[in-house]
Amino acid sequence: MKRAERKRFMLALVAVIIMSLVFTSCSSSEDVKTEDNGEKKEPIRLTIWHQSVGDADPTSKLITEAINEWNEAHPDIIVEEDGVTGEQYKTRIKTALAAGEGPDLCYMWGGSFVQPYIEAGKLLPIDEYVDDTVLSKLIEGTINGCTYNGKIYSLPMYTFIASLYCNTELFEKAGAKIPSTYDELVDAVKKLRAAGITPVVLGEKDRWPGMYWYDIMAMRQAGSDETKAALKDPSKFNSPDFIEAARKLQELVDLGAFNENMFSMSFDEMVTAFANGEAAMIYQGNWIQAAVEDPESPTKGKVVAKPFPVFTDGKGTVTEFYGGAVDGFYINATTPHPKEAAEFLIFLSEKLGKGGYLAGAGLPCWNTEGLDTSNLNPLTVQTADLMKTATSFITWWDNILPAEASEIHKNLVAELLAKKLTPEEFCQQMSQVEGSTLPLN
Amino acid sequence: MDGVKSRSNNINRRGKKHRVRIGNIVLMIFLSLYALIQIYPLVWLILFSFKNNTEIFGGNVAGLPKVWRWSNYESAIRQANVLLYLRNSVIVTAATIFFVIMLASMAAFAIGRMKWKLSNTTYILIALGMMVPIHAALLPLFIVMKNLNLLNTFWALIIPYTAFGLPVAVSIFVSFMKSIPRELDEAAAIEGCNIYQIYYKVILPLLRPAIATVAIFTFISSWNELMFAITFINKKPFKTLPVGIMSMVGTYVTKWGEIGAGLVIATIPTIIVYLLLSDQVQKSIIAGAIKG
Amino acid sequence: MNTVLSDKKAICFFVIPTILIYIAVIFLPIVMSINYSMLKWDGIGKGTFIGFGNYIELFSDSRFLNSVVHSFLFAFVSIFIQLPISLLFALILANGVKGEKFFRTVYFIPVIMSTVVIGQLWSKIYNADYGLLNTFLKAIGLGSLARDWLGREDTALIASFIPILWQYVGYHMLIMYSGAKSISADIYEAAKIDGASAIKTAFKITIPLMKPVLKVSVMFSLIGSLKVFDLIYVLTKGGPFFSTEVPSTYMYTIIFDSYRYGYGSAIAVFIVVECLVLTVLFDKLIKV
Repeated sequence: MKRAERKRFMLALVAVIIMSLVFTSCSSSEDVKTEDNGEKKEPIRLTIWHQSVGDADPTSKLITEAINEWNEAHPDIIVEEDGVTGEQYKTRIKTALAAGEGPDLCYMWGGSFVQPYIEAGKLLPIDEYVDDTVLSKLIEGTINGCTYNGKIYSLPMYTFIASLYCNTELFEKAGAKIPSTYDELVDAVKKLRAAGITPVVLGEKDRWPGMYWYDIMAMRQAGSDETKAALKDPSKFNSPDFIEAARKLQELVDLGAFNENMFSMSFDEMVTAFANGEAAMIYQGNWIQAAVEDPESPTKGKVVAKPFPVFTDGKGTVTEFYGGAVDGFYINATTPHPKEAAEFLIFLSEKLGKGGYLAGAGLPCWNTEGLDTSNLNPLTVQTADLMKTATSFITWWDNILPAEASEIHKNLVAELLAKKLTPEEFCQQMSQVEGSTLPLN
Repeated sequence: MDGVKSRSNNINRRGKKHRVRIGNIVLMIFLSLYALIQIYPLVWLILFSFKNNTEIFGGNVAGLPKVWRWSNYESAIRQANVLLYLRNSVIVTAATIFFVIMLASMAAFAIGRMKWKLSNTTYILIALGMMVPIHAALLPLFIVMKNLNLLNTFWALIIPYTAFGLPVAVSIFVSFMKSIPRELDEAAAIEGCNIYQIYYKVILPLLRPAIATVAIFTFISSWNELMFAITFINKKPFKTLPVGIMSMVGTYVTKWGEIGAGLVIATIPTIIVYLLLSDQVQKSIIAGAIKG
Repeated sequence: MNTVLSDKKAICFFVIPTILIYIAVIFLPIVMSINYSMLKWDGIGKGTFIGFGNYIELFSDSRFLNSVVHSFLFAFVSIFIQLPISLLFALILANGVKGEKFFRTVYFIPVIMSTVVIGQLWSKIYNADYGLLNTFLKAIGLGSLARDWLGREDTALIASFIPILWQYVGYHMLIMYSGAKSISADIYEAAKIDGASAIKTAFKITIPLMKPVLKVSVMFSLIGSLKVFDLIYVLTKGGPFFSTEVPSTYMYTIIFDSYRYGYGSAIAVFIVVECLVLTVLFDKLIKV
């Protein structure tokens, strides 16, 4: 009896072992096959991780197309992609890189997101692979966002700028004028409120949408140079211009410019609310255009993109833009195939740069001469035209300030919007954060 | 044996029929109302899965969709690679349930019924698994899996899911074992059973209701798990269903109706498994009651 | 008998597989987290050893201390409001009512729904403009009570607790239900013959006999509350102004948004130790 019972346990154990063998063989079958096929020369395999997934993201399709095209042209260098959406992508890439197990190429947000990885030597400079013919195809200056300590680490694809999107139908209804100065903005807010229309929709649950408002207002008040100086040395935030910007933001709050439920509204809800025509204005990046231009969107064709109003008492001009961030693909320093990875990176960046612009994913960083732009949606054309007027860019402050400082910044703006802080307190606390070490040019 | 019948008979005999009936009606109304509240999310999800963003984020929160968008389902099935990912989820979840039940019942047997010094300490240490916040365990576990060469295999999910499923399972098993009379072990021992036979032939069959309960809980947690699934797996052949559904969440624009459709597809197996196992809970209890 | 039940070899056989998995998946990561928690580390480059610096900071960090208070509040509400509701339903159903199986099945449905669904549903219920709750309040003439439930500091915490409490009523009910059902039918018969009422039977017989199961439920509830994450993160992300922040959401923000792996690991270690201490205390205080 004793034996019989033991036998049964042994059987169970054997079953477990067999199962494990089955699973592991599953996992390695792929490698086995390649060995069989490529008897003479085994192809190089490159992995690339990105955050563009889902039908709603135009980049997603472009990446797959570009990779297929590459794999067909280069049977000896096979690229394998894996996409995971935004928030989860950040968690995964940070974990994998911390464990030293990153892919050959990975998508990274520019500025302070990627900077610590570069400083820790986790990513590979690609100067030796990028020649002048490649650089000459880029729009001037766009390579700056990919350059750290004088070395090129990535190539730009496309970029984003924030604009004030205005629903013309609601403006007409309220008899308001699309604002080009702060006074006109105040006037429009008053008229829209009087007509029972929410002037501006803001999804402050995610905190970064509110940051956009303070940041552009600070830039309009203090001007580009003073803002850059303050981002490098935050003690300069404790000065009249930044306080005045905070005061104006609270003035807008007092006028009822923003939706009352902003603190429980997410980014998704904010964009949908605007696309549904529930608010007259939104200050956001180009990425919201897809929702507005969707065939089912009730606001399709009724929205115009405008630069943020200028302040008559401010130093900022209408040609200074908030945005111009350069996200892109970076090469893992531990990749065994740096040359091939760099070649692919150049290929992919150009493909996505041009294709992404045409698909409405962002604004071009590559020369667009000779591209058929007749199918571009009107909002992309408008923002692209705005960008052409630009004299300077300051990108998203949470990409400029170090990680912890940008968290603090976003939290402080939320408290400013809730009037838990006075403008003076806000600037006092902003002056305490750690400054940026990025070259802001 | 049937509580309802014997109780009402008993009361009828005392002639309190009327009062009981009103009481029962009030009770039924109360239970039904609560049932309505509990079933609402399922109904809401199904309605939600046919809507588009305009309806979901607009005024039409609870109502029927204006147009029944079956295209949401087409799109979800295509984007989420439903068939492949469903298969993977089934493999991972089934293996997890198997290991959790096997390991937890064994450990619980040693803790709940055998006599040794470190029994209670072991119990508390096993409960430790419940206390680890998974987001902090992500990096250490990633490093462990990497060193064991298990990343991008099903084991990268089965092992952590099993480990995180064990504490709950062991607790449930131990507490159930406490309600099984000790005399049973003694009787079995006198009849000549060894300790393995006591576990396998005496205790394990009596644990059946608990096994079904543990299976349900383990199923739910591993079926829906996302964090490990996203971080430990980056090859399509091993991805699970929640990862497939999350892959429809765009970075800037998300079509929530399609996600809803994906979630309906992912929820159906859960409901089926729950109905099957929940029946099993009931049946094994009755079977056990008749025997005991 | 005792020799059979303390057979060392058998104990090893039963416990060692579990212990092995535990060492790999639970102990090792905890040990590594303790190691990280002694570092000032961004999770990217090399960390610098700072001893207990992170822990010292932890106990003077008011944002962290508040989050701990929130989690205790949640544990309290779970144990004293949610569990009694679960127990009530478990007892009613175990007592045998018409449609017992139907109700038992339906009450469990929220547990099997994924967090994404529950989160979306409740944010629609709470929505200030078109949410069901405000619509309902306005319909019954209590429009003055309508507000932005998740967007206000005074209501957000309780509003984010309710969905979690609601979701897991069925979970605890199922544990308690199987506990109540496993009590021998003879005992009920005996009580009935003695003429005890249903309520009296519940308090005098069923509940005392269910103690081991109830203890498990309380333990799950306690630990679950102290490390609650998912729904709070989906519903409020810890906001507005940290009013719904709990230790694990704070830890997530610290690690993945602020790049402070060392400090975040210290929070993780705190959560583990906190749960462990309370579980041991609870185990010692309540003997079954």
